[in-house]
Amino acid sequence: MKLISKSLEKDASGSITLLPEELEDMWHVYNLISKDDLIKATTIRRLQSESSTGSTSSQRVRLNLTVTIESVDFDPNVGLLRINGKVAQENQYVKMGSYHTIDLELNRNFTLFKPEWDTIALERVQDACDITKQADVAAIVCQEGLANICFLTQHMTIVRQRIESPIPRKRKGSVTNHDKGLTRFYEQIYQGILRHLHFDIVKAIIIASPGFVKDQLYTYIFDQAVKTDNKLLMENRSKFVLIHCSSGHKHALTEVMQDPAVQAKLADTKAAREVQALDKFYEMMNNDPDRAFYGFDHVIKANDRGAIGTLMVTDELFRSADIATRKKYVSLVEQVRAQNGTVFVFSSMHPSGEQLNQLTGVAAILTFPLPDIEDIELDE
Amino acid sequence: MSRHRAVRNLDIDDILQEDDYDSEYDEDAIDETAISTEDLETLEEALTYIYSIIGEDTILSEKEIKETLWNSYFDTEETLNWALEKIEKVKAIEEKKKAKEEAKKASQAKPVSSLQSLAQRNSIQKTIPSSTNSLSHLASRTSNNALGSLASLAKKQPTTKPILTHTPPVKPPPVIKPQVVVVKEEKEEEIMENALIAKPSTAAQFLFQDLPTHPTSLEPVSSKVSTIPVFTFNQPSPDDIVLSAQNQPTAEKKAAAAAAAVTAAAKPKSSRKEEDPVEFLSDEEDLSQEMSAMGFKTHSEPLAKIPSSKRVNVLEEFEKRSGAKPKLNLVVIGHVDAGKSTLMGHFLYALGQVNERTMKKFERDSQKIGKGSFAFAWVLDETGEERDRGITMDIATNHFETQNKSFTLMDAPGHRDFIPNMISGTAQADAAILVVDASINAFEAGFDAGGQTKEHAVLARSLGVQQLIVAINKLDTVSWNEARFKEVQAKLGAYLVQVGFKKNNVVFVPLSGLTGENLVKKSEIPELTSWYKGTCLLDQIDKFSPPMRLLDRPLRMRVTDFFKGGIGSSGGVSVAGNIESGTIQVGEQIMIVPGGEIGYVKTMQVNEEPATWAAAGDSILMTLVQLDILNLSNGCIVCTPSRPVPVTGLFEAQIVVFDIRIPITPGYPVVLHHGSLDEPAFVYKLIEVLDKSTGQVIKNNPRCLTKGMTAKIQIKLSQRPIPLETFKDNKQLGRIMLRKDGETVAAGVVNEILTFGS
Repeated sequence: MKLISKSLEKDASGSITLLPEELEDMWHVYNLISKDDLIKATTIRRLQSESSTGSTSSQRVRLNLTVTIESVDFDPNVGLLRINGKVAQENQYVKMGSYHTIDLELNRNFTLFKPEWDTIALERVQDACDITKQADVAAIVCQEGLANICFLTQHMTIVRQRIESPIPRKRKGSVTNHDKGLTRFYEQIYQGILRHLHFDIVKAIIIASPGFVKDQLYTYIFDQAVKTDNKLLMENRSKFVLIHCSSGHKHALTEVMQDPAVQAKLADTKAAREVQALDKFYEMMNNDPDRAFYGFDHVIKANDRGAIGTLMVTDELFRSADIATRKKYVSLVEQVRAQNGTVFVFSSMHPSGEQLNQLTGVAAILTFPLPDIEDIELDE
Repeated sequence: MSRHRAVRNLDIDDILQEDDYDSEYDEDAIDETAISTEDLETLEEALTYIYSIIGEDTILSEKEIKETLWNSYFDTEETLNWALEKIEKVKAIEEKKKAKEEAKKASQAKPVSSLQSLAQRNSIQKTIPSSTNSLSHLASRTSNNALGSLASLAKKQPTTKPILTHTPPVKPPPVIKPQVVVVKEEKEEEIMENALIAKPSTAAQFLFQDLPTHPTSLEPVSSKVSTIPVFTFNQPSPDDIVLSAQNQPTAEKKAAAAAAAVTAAAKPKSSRKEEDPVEFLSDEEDLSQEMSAMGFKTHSEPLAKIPSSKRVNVLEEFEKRSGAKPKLNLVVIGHVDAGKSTLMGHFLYALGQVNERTMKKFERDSQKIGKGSFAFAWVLDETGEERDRGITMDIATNHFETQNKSFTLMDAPGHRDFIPNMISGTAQADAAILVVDASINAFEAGFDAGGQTKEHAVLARSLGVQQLIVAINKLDTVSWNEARFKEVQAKLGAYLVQVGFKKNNVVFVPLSGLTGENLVKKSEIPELTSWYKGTCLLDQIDKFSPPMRLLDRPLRMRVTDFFKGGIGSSGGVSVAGNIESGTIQVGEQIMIVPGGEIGYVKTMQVNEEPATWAAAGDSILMTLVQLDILNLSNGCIVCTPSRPVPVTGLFEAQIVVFDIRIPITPGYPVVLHHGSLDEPAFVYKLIEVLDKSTGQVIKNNPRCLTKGMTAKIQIKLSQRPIPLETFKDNKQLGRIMLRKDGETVAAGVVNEILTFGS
């Protein structure tokens, strides 16, 4: 994402113009936008006109529209962002107050007006525009009969393809069915890799699995590459990393990200640090339960006493349609920062973020134990 | 026919024990059940004391007294009270019987309607308080008169409602676990109530019991009773109306309720007491009805493409077959490289399951790649990958027979990465052989943290395996050292008991898989025979007792494997698995869940031999037709279309948390293992923490669960719903395992299914 212009007033209201360049930027925009903001972007509108004889004709016009946002839809797999709202500025084609849905496009500027740009939003802009942090890693997590081809970016884990292929078990006296099933399974993964991976963008390709599936898959891929004379694959052989994980399910990725070999490949280790922070939280909960709390009520009480050392929140909370909720969490983050606490804003598109989401979305590790917090809750 | 069998097969002991999940997992349970020598001494002492008081020739059996002693923690006084009470009760019952016989004669001579007799008795009651002052007199009169009329009444009623029984329900099983104790005591109380109700009338009982302690209340009570106008019973009493509406089952109840019509106002509590036994009885009745309905059901299910003449009565056939050789599923588990495959390979070879030529070939080929010692393992490890690497990766299935039993053997992989496969195999097993490597350091490596010995043992127990042989392998490497055997036995034995195996269900056998010592015949090596007097592995395996099969339940079969093409290169889809409950026969209609696709059984193999039917406990391979292979998936369930397995995405489970590093909180992602199925899921909600032994709630809405806790939680599937049944409905399908990052974090049973369908 590129920052084109930025004009903010003293009361933090104002507008920022941005240029989204890749799919992940759409995710950032999705997180920036909240209800009742204004967005100005180029879009296509179908106009219907009725002639004097009563016949109708329709035409499509590309035009710049400003819309008061009412709802946003996001599809992470294709990076499609649809913003629906009332038109806020009249022009020759569209009346004020009529509805329009903008499909935000890559490589076209848009301007976002917010009544208040809070710190979280500004950080998000800064983050999104920092090109040094960009690194795309592809990961194939698999186990016998199941594989997930995923993309890991700084803020997102996207499952591109989920391959499930039944593999017959070995039977007494006959393993041909088993071997055939395995070959078919590897072939499917191989095709998936060819279809989804763009080797010019991807900096590393991780193959993770329990047992020997990863080794067999690796051998299979390069056997096939040699057979079909696939130069592209052969050139990128050094990008492949084999890592052990416990299962072929998506959340095994958290294990993968912990691996030092992967961390070295990731330009930005935000995701890995998030995983570590969450792990630390769980460890603390085990060792000293009075120093680890989750749930807004508990965390805010700990915050009131200035006890929070590390705060973890998911970005989903800031996407809340309810302004008051958003403000509540923004002020929590700001207060913790003011007390020199560390704040991690988890991306809910990562497995770790999903997990935190389930854990009410907010958790904190305290610097000193507060045993009475739990009791307060019990009394209520 | 089948109904009778259904009831006969219903082993109440087993049901009570098995369903008692909590105590099954109770780590302390074993300590309580296993009687220490001190306890035994105390017990004997107390027993002699009690005999000295109540006399040797008592009607109470020694066992009963011991049990009571045990339950009362050796309180002799309490037991004595109980014993005296019991004797009195038995005497009372005998008296009652006599009275009944007399009444029978009387009623034969002069038929009296039940209501008339009630009215008669009522008038007697009414006269008593005013006519007499002596309590004992009152008691004796009431009991005599009321008894007669009541008994005649009771005698008349059963003819209209044949299901009812007057004999107290079957005596509860010998008490082993603390939780069962509670149930049993309650039941006994109820039985006692039963006996009491039938004896003196309620009114008499009330007066007789309560008056001595509250002499002052005599006046108001008696006056109250006498002021109630005599109900002539020429119309139904209000209670009768209510009762008949409720369709109360027992005659005792009716009598009691009628009596209560008189005393209800004065003594509501007693009438409530009487209500309980009736409810209890009606439960029994429901159960028996349900059971018979189920037994009936198996025959009324839609059978497709079978002319009724060709239909097999599977239950009958099963009876015949199990008369010959009962079938068991046996799984071999243990740490990686403990020698499981080699042991079983050698075992099968020694039994003649592997022919000489093949074995020679294995020996030659394994030598060629420098793994000569793996020759026996190759019998079971058949894929190239497994042979090259020298480890088992997937379950290998084989069959063999011993003198008295027929076995399906499953060789599980030991490596931690393949635990999902091990779970899939163990879920089908009735008994297990845990192989441990006795050589120096190898046992320790497998047993201590990171080793699979412990994990496998816990998993096997949690998956319902109760009988275990521990094969202490590779003892030849320590020259059959007894001390080593004892050391391993002590360490492992303590752990196995701790995870819930019963001491007398675990047997230790020293052997060597490679040399074949002590496998199929008793070893003659002097180093071993000098101290080991037990039997060889084969004899020990033969001693496994066959489990009870759920034949009268609807068909459930977990698919562990499926592939295109039928048996013998015919069309269709082949499906392999183990039948968990119910029966199946060729030509029958089946349903695949999830998906709900319906197909037919075309051909079938049981233990690699063609068969026309199979029943619970069999591991089968069958060809299904009119079914698309795309609808099958690993872990799907074959069931009858009339009673499909529920499919759920959210359910409540009771779990036992294992030794975990980080606590379980809401949102905790896990891999849910259910037979051969593994699906990502997460902990949705923590409901409550329970006390391990009593099952009482310790804490509601806990923040997190740490190791060793027993808790109720809700689990949500992340991706798609899976077929699942509650533990109550089907023990095997109701068990779940939760794993994370390659470690088993918890095991549990499904309590309740919260959402159905997707």
